[in-house]
Amino acid sequence: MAKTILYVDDSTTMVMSVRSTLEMNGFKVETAGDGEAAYAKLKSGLKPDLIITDINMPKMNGIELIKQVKALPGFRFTPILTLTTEGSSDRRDEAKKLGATGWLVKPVAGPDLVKVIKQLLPGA
Amino acid sequence: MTPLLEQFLSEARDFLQGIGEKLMQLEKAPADAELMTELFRFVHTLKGNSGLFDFPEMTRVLHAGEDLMDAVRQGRVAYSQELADRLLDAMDFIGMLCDEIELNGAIGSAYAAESARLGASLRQLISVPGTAVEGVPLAVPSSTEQPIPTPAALPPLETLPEVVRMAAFRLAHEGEPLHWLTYTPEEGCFFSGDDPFFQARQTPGVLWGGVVAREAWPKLLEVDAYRCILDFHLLTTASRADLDEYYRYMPEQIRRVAIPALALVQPQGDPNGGPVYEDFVVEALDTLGRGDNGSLAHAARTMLELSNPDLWLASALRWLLLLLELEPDNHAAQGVVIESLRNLETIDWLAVTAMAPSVEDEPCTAAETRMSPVEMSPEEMSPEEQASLAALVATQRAILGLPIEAAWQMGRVRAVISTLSGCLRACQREDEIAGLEAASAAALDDASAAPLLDWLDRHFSTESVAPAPAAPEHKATEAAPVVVLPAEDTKSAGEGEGDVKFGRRAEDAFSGPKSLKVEQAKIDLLMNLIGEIVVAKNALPYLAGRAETVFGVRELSREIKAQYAVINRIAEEMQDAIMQVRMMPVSFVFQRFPRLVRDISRKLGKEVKLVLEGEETEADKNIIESLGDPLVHIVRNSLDHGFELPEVRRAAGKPSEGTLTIRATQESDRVVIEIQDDGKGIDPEVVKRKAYEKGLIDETTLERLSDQEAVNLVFAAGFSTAEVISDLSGRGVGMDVVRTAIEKVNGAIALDSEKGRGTRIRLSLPLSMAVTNVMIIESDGQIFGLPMDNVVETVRVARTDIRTIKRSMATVLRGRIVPLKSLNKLLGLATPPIANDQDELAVLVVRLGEESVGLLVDDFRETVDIILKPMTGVLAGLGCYSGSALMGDGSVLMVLNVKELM
Repeated sequence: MAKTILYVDDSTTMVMSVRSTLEMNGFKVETAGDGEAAYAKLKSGLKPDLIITDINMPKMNGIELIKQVKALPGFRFTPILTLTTEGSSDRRDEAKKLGATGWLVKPVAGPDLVKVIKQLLPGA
Repeated sequence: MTPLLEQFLSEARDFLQGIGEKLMQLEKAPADAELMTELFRFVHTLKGNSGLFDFPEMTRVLHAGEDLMDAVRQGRVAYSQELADRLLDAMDFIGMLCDEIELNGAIGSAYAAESARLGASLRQLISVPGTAVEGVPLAVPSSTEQPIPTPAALPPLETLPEVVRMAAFRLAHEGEPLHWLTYTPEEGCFFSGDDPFFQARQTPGVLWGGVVAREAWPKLLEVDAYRCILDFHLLTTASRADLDEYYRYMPEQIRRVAIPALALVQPQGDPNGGPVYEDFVVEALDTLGRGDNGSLAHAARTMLELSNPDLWLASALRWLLLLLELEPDNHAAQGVVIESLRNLETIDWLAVTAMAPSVEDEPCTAAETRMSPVEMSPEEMSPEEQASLAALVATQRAILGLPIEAAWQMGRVRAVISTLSGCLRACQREDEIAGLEAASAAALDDASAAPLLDWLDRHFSTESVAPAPAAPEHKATEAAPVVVLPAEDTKSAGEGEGDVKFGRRAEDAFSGPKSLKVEQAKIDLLMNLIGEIVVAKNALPYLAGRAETVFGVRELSREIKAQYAVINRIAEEMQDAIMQVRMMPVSFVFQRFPRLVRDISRKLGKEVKLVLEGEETEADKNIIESLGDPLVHIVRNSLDHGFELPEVRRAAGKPSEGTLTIRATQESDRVVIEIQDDGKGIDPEVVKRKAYEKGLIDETTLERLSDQEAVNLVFAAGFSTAEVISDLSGRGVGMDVVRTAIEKVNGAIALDSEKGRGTRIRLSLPLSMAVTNVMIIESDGQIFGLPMDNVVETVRVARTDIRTIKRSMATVLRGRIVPLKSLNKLLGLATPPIANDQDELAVLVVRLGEESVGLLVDDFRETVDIILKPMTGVLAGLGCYSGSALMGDGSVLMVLNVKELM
């Protein structure tokens, strides 16, 4: 069965790009425009195999989202990748400390993204 | 340009505009940290997006801008006018680049220098040290105060009859739970087949029930009888679990409140001029203070005997006695009741004992609890009921007294009769119904209200229906329950508004033209559009399913389904309406026959009388039009070959004048047209021989064919029996052309003939051809559609019940042998049909001419309305499909052509 990935980003361009990359590689992609929307989706029963999130977003940013998701029952072991342009390492570290599995820097090339995801989701 | 690039450009423009706006706002409030963060985010995201493409000029400037904004955000660089100017300059440049990309798909090298300059100018601001100012005070978002939850108010229990409340009070003391239930059915519940009244009545443990209008009643003319605006109020002894179980399909429509027993204690009645019981109150409180329950009860009983039972005082005393009996130690409550005599006001138990009722809205999980519907037993009429009855009767009287036009009188009389008989039944005065019926008959006979008024005068004397005893006061805002549930047929008599109009009064004053001439293209367009809607709406159940299974939002799924029901209904009505517009009477085709028959019979020297029947039968324009040519062909055939010359007819003992009857009738959703002549009929032997000669059948078939089958051979392609090819018919094309034309519009044709007596051809056509109802079946993991017209039934047949006869399968259904064919095999698929858990195979029995054939499929699915699009191009050659259709989820459904398939 196709693995489901939740991609959270406020930029529709990024969403479009990442979605097409992932879908071409056989993943099922769900998206959300900000942390709040993503959190709402997760709360209402979406159970992705992987969450990829931007950091800088309106309403609820990626850091906060990671914090919230890790506190949600059933999501403790869901891998979370951050995909961000954030240059500064402190944010990165903060995300890492909160339980992010890894980070990627935008723009990421399609094959690289897929490679990382395949490492995280064996059998995908 | 790729869609991704298009998306990027449009988003980029939005961001640029946003950046401009934010900068303007920042000018006014340079210290606003939130604005700053927003601004940073815009630049940041824009930069991130630009990185997806190879636009180094753009990314360079944006990157500089992002770094600058980051510095500003963190307070390393102070926000200044200068900064805003440079940033705006840079963003204008980005906008220009966007235009360039849109025009040329790339950024020309000419922009590189400018990009470098702007980038540097932005970076310059970051690197200037000392411009940093002390931290900008951050605006702290004010936390909104949580409103203090107010305790749920007690339901208007004082509106309940005292007897009911006393009974409930006793039950509560016996340990029964008491709940006040408000059931608010959905407005559209009637369309989903709900019966809220029944639902409410069957609620377990009902002690009392009332119906309350949710909103003010509109004028009678504007009442939408299909909209449920009633709330049901019930007092029940059912447990929470029972209630939840009973209302498990509509948890969002009920609200339960647990009722503390004391809340039922509420004296009511006639204040009798005001509180004058001070002596009694003082004495009673004194006795109560001494804890002498015996004396208090004695005093109360004495007082009760002396007072009119309708008084407030009496009611309070009854409650006091009940309290003394059931809660002898609750002196506080007893005191409160006694005190209430001082001011004769409704006791506010909430204030007295702080016993806030608990609204229990959390769903219950006890699914195992059984519900036990309790029948409400009709009892003696309480004063309240008598008051309602009196009000009802008075209203009916008023209705009968209103001026009315004769045309509406009958309707009004009938309405009053049904209300009155309902009343009688409700108050168990069935014996009086006979009298009412006699009066009703008289009233209906002369269409006058007088006999009914007489009857009313005799049975409800004006005294007994005199103004209702002063009802206990309710809060003015609360609509009083107007119906007492045990009265099954009683209708609420409205609020008696003076301006309610009974029946329509508007005269058809204007007499302009009543019909419109509309171009057919317009109607066709409407027809196509509604067809599309009918199909498009099918996507909603699919969405609802997805909302539930994929997104897990059952609530939304239910709402979508409810909305689907509405849209479905409207679409169907609309479709009907548009089809009505397209309907034409068959007389449109029939009208040419008198002339045609006359001319041809003259020419042939035959005498034929034409009888047309059912000319007013209507069918879709397309159907009517497609009928024209085949009918002419059939009529010509009949005149040419069917009717004999007058002398031949006379010799055969028939009247010299033949009769040709063309009859149109409607049978459910089909138009049936019969063309009958009393000519010489078709000789099956001749047909058989001809067919054999032409090689249409072989020798064995020749032997086996029944007469009926033989005459139907005339429909075979390339068959024409006329010995001499005449001028009129039989030009090498025969009845097969007729058959093809009829089948093209989904029609069927049958012929029976008796030699020497005549021929009858029966055409059956659909009323309309816009939408096809197909059944969806599953086979080898694929879905196919099959027109419902072909489907006889769906059955599951155990594998053991399938026999093999002469290497083909068959089974016995209700005593008839039904040959079975595997759909997979017919379609050339290798997989065998899949059986279900009980090893039963899905058999779709289809009609094939007169025969039934069973199709072995994997599974049955739902039926849907589709617009059948015929196959085009190369695919048009695939005879086994009659066409394809688009499904709600966007997939394509192939619709099988059963006849060709077999």
